Amino acid sequence: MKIISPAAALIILALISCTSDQILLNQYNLNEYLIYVNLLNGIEKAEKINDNSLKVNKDAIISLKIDNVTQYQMEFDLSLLEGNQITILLKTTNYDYRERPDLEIILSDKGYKIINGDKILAESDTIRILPYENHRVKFAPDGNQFRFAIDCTEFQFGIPHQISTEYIFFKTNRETRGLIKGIKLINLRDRDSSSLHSE
Amino acid sequence: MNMKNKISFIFINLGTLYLLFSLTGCVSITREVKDTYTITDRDTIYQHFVRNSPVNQNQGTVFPSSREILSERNTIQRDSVVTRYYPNFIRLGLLETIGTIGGDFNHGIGTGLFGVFINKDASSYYRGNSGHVFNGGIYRFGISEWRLRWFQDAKNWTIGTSIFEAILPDARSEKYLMSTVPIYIRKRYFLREEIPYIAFTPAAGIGLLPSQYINLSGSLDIGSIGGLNVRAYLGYAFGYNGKWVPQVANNDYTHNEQTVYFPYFGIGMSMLDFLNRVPETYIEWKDHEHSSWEIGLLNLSLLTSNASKSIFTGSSKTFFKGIDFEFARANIAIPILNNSFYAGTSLLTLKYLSENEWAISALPLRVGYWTTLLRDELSATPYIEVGYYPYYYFNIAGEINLRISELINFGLKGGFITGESETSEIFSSNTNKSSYSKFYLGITFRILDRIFYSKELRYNRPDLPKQPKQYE
Repeated sequence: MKIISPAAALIILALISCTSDQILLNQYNLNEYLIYVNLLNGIEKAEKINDNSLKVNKDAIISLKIDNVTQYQMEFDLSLLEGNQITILLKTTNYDYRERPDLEIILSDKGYKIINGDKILAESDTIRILPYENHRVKFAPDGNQFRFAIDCTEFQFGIPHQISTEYIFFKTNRETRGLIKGIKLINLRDRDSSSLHSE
Repeated sequence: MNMKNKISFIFINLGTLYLLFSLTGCVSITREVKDTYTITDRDTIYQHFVRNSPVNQNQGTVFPSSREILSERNTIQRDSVVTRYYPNFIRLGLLETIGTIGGDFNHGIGTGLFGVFINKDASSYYRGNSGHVFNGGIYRFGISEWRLRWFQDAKNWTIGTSIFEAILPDARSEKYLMSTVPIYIRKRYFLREEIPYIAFTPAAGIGLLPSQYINLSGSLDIGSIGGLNVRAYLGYAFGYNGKWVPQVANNDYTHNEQTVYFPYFGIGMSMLDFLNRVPETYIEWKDHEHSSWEIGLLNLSLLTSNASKSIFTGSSKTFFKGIDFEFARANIAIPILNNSFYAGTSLLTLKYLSENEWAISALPLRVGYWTTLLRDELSATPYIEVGYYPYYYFNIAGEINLRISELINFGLKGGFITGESETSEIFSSNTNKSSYSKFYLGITFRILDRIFYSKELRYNRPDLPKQPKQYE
């Protein structure tokens, strides 16, 4: 019966190796929306730090999906561990990624830039994202309106004829690793939380 | 069973159950992705009201106009939900059979090529004899494999199991290594990445209940195409059968515990056994490549014929006199002319026209022509079929098929069959043979049987194969 010991080892090995290409955030907080983090170009590209924070590694493309929530306000703390640029993409899905004009927010050591297709919606070189600096990022796709805030700078613009989705993409370049901490999401269609939004 | 064995038995049972529950938690056949798109439309409506007074009025510059304009601005949001379905397995199969060379040649079973042409004399008391090339066999039922993402997500590793596996070195049942839910880890090295795939596959497996064994093997795999696969194996299985395992406890020849060492070479096949490469698991089901006109599990026909007596009533006046049963059928399109010709087989066919006019055959060969009569559900197929083991028959027939759903079909069939049967009951050892030739006509019910439309065949879809999305 000595054969049972390697058998048990193999079973344990098999179970722990049943790795998914998805991470769950807000898994243990029933008051928050469950966030699915899809690791699109490799299962090592992001790691869960705690229930509402994750680390994005170099050369990563990940998407956060909140089921059935397309009109929301999301905010989080962003800090780069190394490197110089992290990009947030909205108004797209895993299926449509880069197939049609996405809303692209580029945060880098040269400032920030918001692009919709071939149009630059906003650009600044005063707020720069440098390693180990903490920045509060907040954005809200709300119908045709899009509100964006980084630290104390906040602005709003209209984006007509753009379709909202449940996805938020994060993309890092080959040099950049970053932390996304304390993700907080408010569903703008939820009447109870809409009062929070207006505060 | 002593106390030690009982404790081991309980532990193994619990381990297997735990494994089953764990595996079902992280695996499924189809992955469903549902995306919600919200479309926002803004619209402004202008309404003009002019209420003219019934009397003349001075519409001078100081007198206000009676025209009113109502401007109403609306924002309308509507959701569009798209659901996409993707396969979520690497391999899903019904049955795999392997004829092996390697057990005791004096106790050979005679499983035949692919392990399906089994010696007709085999029974539960059979201890085998010499003179068989394939003296053992390996049988797996309900096979599944999923992607195993380890070693930094190294390519083409899988973890899999089957509902039941039996490794039979020879006819001595105390040497049988049998397990429910054995765990296999495989790595495929693809030599050809187009259908039918060719791969070299090293594998390591472990069985726990009731036998405990390890099976190490390497195989050259061809398939799948239409769920059909052919494999050549080289392997070594070794394990232990305790006194309490059924094949020892119920053995008429020995009740001693057994240690089994079984080096083997084998040639195997499997039907209704589908293999996906990892990129295919990121391609929607609707865009998967199909090579067959028909793939099915069960096919049952009620037949009327010019046979003398019905097998149901023994009367010559009963309308339905016989049955036709097929298990695991595949008709694979041949890509010549208009792709309508096909070659097919079934794992097992039973044609039972009357009491003494019947045939059983494993892997009969079938060639036919598929044509659509009414788009797209009604189709017809004339074909020729030859069964050769254990009983010979030649069947020239035609079928009209009505596709009810993706899983159920109904049809009519008719034809002429000639062959040899034994003038005794099926499975009897009586060898008095007789020939027969009969015309027949019948109705057919097919369960878990899919008929593919012409437009679904990969040869008729220039947009295939599709590549999974690259995220760069």
